[in-house]
Amino acid sequence: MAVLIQDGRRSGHLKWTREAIQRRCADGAVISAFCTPRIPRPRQRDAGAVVEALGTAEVLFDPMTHARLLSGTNKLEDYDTWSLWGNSGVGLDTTARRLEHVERVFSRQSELGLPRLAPTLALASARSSDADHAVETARVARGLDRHCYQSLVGTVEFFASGTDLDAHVGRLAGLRASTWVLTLVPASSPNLIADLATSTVALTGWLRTIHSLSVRSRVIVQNADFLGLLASAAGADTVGSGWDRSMKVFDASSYQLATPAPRRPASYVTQRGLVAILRRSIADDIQRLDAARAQELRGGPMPSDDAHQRVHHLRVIRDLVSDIYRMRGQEESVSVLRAIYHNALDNYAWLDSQVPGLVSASERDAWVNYPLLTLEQYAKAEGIW
Amino acid sequence: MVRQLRLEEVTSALEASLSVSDLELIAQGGQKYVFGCNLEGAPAVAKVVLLPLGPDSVYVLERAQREVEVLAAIDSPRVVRVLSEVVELDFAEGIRAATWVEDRLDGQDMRDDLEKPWNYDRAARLIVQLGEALSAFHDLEVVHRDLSPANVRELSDGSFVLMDPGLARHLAKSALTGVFQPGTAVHRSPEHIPGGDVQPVSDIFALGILAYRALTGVLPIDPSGSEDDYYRRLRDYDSRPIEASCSDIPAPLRDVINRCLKRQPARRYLDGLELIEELEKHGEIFGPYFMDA
Repeated sequence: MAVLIQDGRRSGHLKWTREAIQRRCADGAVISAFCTPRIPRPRQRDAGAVVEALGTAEVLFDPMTHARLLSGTNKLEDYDTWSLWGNSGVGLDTTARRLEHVERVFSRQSELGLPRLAPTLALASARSSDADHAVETARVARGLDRHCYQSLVGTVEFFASGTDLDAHVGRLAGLRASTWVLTLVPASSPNLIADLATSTVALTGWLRTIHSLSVRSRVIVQNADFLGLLASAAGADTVGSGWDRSMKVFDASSYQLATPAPRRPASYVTQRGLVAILRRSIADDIQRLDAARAQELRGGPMPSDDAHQRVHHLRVIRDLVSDIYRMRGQEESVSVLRAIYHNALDNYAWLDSQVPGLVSASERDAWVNYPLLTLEQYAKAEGIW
Repeated sequence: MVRQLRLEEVTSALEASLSVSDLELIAQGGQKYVFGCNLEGAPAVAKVVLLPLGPDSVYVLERAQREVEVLAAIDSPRVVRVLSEVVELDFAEGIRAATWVEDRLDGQDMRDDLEKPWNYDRAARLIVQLGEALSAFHDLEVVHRDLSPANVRELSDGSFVLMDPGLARHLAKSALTGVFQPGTAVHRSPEHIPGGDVQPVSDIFALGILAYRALTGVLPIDPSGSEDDYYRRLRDYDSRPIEASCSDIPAPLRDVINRCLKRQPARRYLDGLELIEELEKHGEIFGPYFMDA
């Protein structure tokens, strides 16, 4: 069971990552080709230095091919330092391109002394030429290194595609990868995390996939954060998280240059007992209402600043994932998470009785009701509800 | 119109091209003849497939060559042995055929023995020994694709042998998907549905159907109605659990059959090798039937 910190571009990223690992709030990190350069750039540590700085912690280098091949991706200043494509061009649609790319990705990972993680495409459909290219890429990777980790990246449409999804996962399972690294790509939205939480059909398919792959393999879910609790109940042993939105959820816009002017991130506080991250002003209101109960809801003292909130958040995620995953059977894991959600609903009800409307119904739905519904749909289909 | 070949034309061509003797017609159907014969003093069968006129002849010839190539590469007592290469026969008036020789197996194929439910020991033997046969295929990354009663023979010593991999596909040598999917109706897997990708795990599903049918006399997925209806059931619904028909079935046998029949391919045994690993854990049920038992 582990939490990996996703890569980010903020200047303190490496320092914060090291601190989180040292404080045992996280177990390792993912280096992204889009966030960390291969060679040093002004004010940026190169990947070799990052690996060295993180010592014995688990580190993966994700080539992020699925992000590179999304239409609109053009934020390439770090990515291009990796030289991941050969003479036949960018793409995974031909045998030559697949081979050249996988060889280069594996070579970079070997240079860093990291596990070999195969690249893939972000799939919007399980029945498509892209899906075939993803399978072929995975087979090339397996052919070069049968012990490599494999990637599966899909949109909400992909994970909502029912039997087509299951058939595709069957093709992938045949590769017998030791580790699967999954990424769920949400639909474009100004409110990615909340909208993703309401995509119950896709999330149920995502859980079914995790369940299927975890029968034979270790499963890591990237950019999952609180939704990683669901993944843990379905069999994922490692969850990707972090402090920025683009770490907590896959955000296609973070790979594009045309982003709005930088804005100061709002201040939030993670509330363990509500399975939520709420605005600091709400945390203050709860604190004023009942200091003891507030501490219980947060799962710790009030974070005094954003630095403490980063640590507090990761600790909450790690503790919850640990509580869920350490159960020996999936039925027990589901039962633990179900209890966590029901307890959260009780807490929301208490809050609402004290200060009606302090937390909106839509926030409660996104943090608890929809995830609980997803858990129920998944578990009922598996006969473990 | 193509003229009918006379039997003597075929037998003399076989004697001349394959050095076989004592030919006797065992079966004839469609464009295929099967002869019992003698090859260098040992009983054998000669198979003859007529090649259609026109461009389809290339496909039929390739299929025959693939069957023989697959069988020649597999060395397992659970898979019928091939004794020659494919030879093309030219008859008068442009009629052509492909022929080859295989071991002659005694016993009978499963088609003749599905009326009465089998006992659990016999079903366990079927699963172990076809599992071993599939392991031999899958170890070479070959999918049989047509595991059906006609292609499974129970020998007089009680062992099962897998035959006729005429529709087999080498995973590394062929395209990923195709509109045409082979296999015998009602013995197909969800991946056999047109547009699907038949994999080793699909053979596992077909083995589950065989075992289920042997024990219950019925199919795990209702085959009634149109082909589209059947495909929809195959794709969207789980099979009825075997214990619904066999309430006293031993748990390991029940679990193995139910897992073979999982609708989601990743939930089944992925191939014969994984199936055998599982069976080896339950020696009390499956142990006596392994090759090295």
